[in-house]
Amino acid sequence: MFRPAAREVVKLPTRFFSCKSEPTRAAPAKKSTRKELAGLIPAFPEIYPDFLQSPVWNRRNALKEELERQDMLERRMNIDIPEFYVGSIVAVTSSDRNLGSKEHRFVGICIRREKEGLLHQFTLRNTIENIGVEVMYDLYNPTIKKIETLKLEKRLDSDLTYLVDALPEYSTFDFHMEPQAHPAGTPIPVNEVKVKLKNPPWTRRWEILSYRGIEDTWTQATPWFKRKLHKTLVNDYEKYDLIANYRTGSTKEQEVFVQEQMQKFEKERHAAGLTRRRILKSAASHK
Amino acid sequence: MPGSKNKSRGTLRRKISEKCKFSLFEMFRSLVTSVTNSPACEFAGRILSANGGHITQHRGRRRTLTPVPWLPPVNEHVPKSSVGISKVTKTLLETVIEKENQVASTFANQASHQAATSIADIPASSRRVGLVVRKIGMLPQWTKEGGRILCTILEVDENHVVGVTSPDSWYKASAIGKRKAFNRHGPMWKVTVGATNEDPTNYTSAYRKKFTRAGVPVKETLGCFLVTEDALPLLGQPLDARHFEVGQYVTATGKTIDWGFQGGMHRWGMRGQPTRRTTKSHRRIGSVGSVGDARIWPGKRMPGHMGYEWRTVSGLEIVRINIDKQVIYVKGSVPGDMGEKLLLKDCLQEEKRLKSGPMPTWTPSLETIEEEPESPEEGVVPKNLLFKETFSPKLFRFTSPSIVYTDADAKKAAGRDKTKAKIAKVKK
Repeated sequence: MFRPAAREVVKLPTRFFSCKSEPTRAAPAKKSTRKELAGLIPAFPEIYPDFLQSPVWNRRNALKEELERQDMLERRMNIDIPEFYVGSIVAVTSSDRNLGSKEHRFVGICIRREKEGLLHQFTLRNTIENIGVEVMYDLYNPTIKKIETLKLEKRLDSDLTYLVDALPEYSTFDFHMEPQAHPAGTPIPVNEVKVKLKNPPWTRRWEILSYRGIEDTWTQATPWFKRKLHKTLVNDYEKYDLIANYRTGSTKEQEVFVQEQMQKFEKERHAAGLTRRRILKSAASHK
Repeated sequence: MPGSKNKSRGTLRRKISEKCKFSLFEMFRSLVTSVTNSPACEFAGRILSANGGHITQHRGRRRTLTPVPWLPPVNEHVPKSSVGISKVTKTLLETVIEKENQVASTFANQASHQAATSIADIPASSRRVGLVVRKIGMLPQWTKEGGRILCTILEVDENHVVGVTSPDSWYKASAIGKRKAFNRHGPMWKVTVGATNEDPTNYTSAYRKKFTRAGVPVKETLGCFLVTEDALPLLGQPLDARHFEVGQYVTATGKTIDWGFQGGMHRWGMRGQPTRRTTKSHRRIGSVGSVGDARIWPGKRMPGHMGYEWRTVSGLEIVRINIDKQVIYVKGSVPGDMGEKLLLKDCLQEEKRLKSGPMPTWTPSLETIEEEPESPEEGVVPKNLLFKETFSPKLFRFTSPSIVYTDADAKKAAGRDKTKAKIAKVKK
């Protein structure tokens, strides 16, 4: 059992539950440990959302994750899956048996990355002949031949589903776009553009969800909506849930463990002389 | 009838409390007896018979949530902290358990080597034993044509044969045997299979005795299979995931997900009532009968307890087996939640029946050692870096490059090309 020293007990102020007002009692600043220096990536959960554990605790199983990870790493040895985020512009070339050229290339902005493991999916969105088109790809589908990141950047939100209700110019990209190289070692740029939505009705009530990348949704709402709907945030109370991150997110230990497994896998394959492809890499922390 | 039920419950509770007093003593004694190989006392059976009268319970309904009252309890409820075992006793206990398990596993291995087995034709009349597996997750796999298959992965966790009962003795011993030992498919043996080794101190001596008799470590879960005489495994024999073959069809049986009390919309897929111009009845089931007949017909679908029922899914194809980790990949979904135990056996549908395979079960003597090629091929991953696995020939392997289609793969149009005129073919 934890027993504080007598001296510490005397020093305790009256409001010792609060963390923010007392920086000495708050969580200590994160020191870079020895492991982090050994080639591990700090932004691992953002770059590799497919290697995280399921947020449903019932579905976490060490053996299942091991087998799944083995398949994922094998696939990554055969196809170069680059780093991309929600908001990056990505081109995917996939095999299609019914086309004359037997392959299809689609360019679009990545609006969603969801699910873990072999189930991981990402969605690309583009406007083609004034019609919005969204294509959902399984990241580990073997019919995908090539994935390119044409422009590596992030947006203000981690889910850009609202582009379906935005003006079409925000999701229009040239299919013949030249790839823009990201200078290695520099942080990933954040595109702080705020999109304008079309007039309501929308597919979802974007104004009550806390999105940062939408330009002033409330003033655009028609008086009928303003009269009818309170301007409330639906999940506003969630910011008071102090352990929500622990319940649904990944732990540092797990991230380090997975990265070590990936490094071990890479090392074995390099030693076997099959490939020089590197799996674990990050554009921002590249040496 | 309700009175007798209450009475039986009261006596049961008394029995349990009486038993707890002696539980630790019994635990030690049975451990010692099992080691010295003298007959263990049958205390649980004695208490039951001392009570005399029959215990009845209405079982075999949609779901039964209470354990069988006429069998001795399985779990030993000893408050370990309050017992105050000294350190020496504890280490002694641990050593004895370890020794027991060692002896048990060596016996089991010997049993598997003694067993005669071969890859043989399986006649339609014979029933092989099955496996007790744990559902550990679902993940997609792809075919070589690029199709996606959602698979369930099932772990075969240390399966051993715990009991083999002949049809005659089964018929005499139990009411279930009365129904199943001599059925229309002929005399059936009852083979009990145990899965997942557990700490024996958590279980009563009556439960542990089964395992001592079979010479296997104490198991967490038991499952029973009906087996014909020609496919009978040995007592104490370990069972392997290779009991099944890739491409074979299997049947999975288990408890479905326990949803608890659910409404008619979730439980029966009813439509509910409109969102607008309806108050407080959006998810209600609506009318339950007609006016003239002032009652509700039996079997009317209503809210109630959903799930936790014994269900079987048959015709599941095995697409991949990981031999190192003893994991079976099955195409499709099986009943139950993640981490639940299931019974896996051969599919009995005639067109999906296993025609030839390891009879009665797989043993290490069937293992074939593949010859390593002298010079490994270029661009092929060496075998020591991969798990030992068997794949269905139609399954895409993640070690191979991306799928590329040719003209031959294109789908043929089902009908005539309607953009062109219909011209009669000239016969030559």
